Amino acid sequence: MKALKIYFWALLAFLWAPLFVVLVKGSTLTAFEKLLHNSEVIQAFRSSLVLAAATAVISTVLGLATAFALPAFPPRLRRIFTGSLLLPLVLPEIAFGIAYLVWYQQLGLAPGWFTLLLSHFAFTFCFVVLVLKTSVAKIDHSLSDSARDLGAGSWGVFRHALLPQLMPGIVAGAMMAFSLSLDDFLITFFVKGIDQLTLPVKIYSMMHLRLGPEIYALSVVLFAISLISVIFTQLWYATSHRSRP
Amino acid sequence: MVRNLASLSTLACFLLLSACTKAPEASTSAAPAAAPAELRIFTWSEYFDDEFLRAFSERNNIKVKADYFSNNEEMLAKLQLLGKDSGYDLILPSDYMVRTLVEMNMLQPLDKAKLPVLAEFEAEALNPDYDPGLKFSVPLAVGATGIAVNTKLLPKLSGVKELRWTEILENPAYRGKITMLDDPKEVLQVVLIIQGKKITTATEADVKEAFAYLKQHKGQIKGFPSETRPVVEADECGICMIYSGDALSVAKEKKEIHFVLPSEGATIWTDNLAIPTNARNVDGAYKFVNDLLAEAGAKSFTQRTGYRTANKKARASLPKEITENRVIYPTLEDRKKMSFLVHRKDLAALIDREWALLKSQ
Repeated sequence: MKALKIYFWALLAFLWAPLFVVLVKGSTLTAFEKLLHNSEVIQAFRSSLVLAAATAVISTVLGLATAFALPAFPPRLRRIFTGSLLLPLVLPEIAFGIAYLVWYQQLGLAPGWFTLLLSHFAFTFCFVVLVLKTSVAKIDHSLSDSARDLGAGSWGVFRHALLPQLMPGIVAGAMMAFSLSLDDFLITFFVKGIDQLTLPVKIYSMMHLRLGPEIYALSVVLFAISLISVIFTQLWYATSHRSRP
Repeated sequence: MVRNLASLSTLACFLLLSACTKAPEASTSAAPAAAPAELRIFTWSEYFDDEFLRAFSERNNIKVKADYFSNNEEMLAKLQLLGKDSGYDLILPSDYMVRTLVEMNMLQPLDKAKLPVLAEFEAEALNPDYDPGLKFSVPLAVGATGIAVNTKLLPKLSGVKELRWTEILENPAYRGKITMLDDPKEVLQVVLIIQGKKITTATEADVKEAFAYLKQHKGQIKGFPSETRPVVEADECGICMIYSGDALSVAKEKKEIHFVLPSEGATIWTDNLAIPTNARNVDGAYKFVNDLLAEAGAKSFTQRTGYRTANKKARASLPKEITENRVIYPTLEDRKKMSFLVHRKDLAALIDREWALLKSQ
């Protein structure tokens, strides 16, 4: 038991120590002050948040619709489709980045906001569907039947019988799409136009000149956003479960 | 590094594929340039400060737009994929990438009459091996890999002006006190130089021999940190292999650190300004290069980043702490012994394998 405890703490330390070091190094006032004066960093940060939020919304809405439609697919088609959803998990990101750009060139689409959003949607969508697929499979259909018996229309059934059951999956899927989009570098690099700048593109490019503590401070900011979103999700779960009768 | 290698191999496959498909004709959205001309630069981040860009824009009525990349191969891939439409007027390839771009006919020959700033350049900078006579590129940042010595940990070395790598790697007094860069090409270059060889002509046997030497003396090396600066600042290495860009900021913070160059010769690299063949605002690009590398621009660049430029006047007006730091401003003697890193595709797999073995030993 004691050995297990030691193992547990060692594992935790190994996972978190690097983040802690960055946190300490980045948390100096001068580093943050420098960041605040770097207008491009602020602009990149804003674009990243907008892009991630938009991606999360679109991916979750279309992902939910797809997850619902999936059981109705003919079995062979369903297998092919769900198999293809795993591609972004196994193929290197750079393959997607290059493929998207070549594809947009073929279509005559100039790289810009539209291609950026489309690509972010495409690669986060797969993850969202995978998450929501399980939520949809776990739905208790007796609830929707009862709702219908009690006179609910199809919107009422969705709103009061299905949505509450799906909510944990929806939040998890949206959070996943948000953070994947926020962190993405390679796909973004290839499909963005000259007028778009996201935070990861800025951070990676800043590394070349090795100019110091600003990078650490930026990592702290990105880390804080992820942490806040995790805490937010956990709190939301806690309160929503308590309020249920 | 791992990201780079994985990317490179995938890149190669995709470029082959994409070479067969043709980019569409000029897109309609990138129609004629409007009143204040635009200058589109494909660059590394933090190379130009806001004040310089503002002044340049006002003086020339040119709006500067920057797009960023984080390594040369990515930049090349995006340029190739965008083809005729790339729309970049100025790009910043590193030394070896200049040669690659020239071989692929992606750079314009430079019109020297439009580059008066070259008159302020040191003669030695005008003829690099990757672009003889600066036909296609103008060096902006010049960096080297040197050695930081911590005299708190190794007081005996306080007056030393030069160190031999053989001494560093073989003298038992330095056992476990050395850090080297986490970069196989840089480390290999050190040993090749010790053994009197060159990366341009090295054979597989040379590479194996070099790594055998490193394995034999592995006990001297404390580690290969991916970030040198924190390690140096925390007094964790007595003799630390360091990039010149880190040297300036470390020197400002810690007085007990001084900088030397290996007597056998060091590695040098440059980031250069070049104009792609399909640039639209060529005149704007020339104006930008002249302004950026003129005395004032070059001076502030070095002060801000710790990398020198080739401008003689800028050097004369910089403070002594910078110009006397040999890692930032090597002497003429040092520079004769310096060599560029070259990417040897045929040796890459072997180097990666040997490097993994060395680190896991």
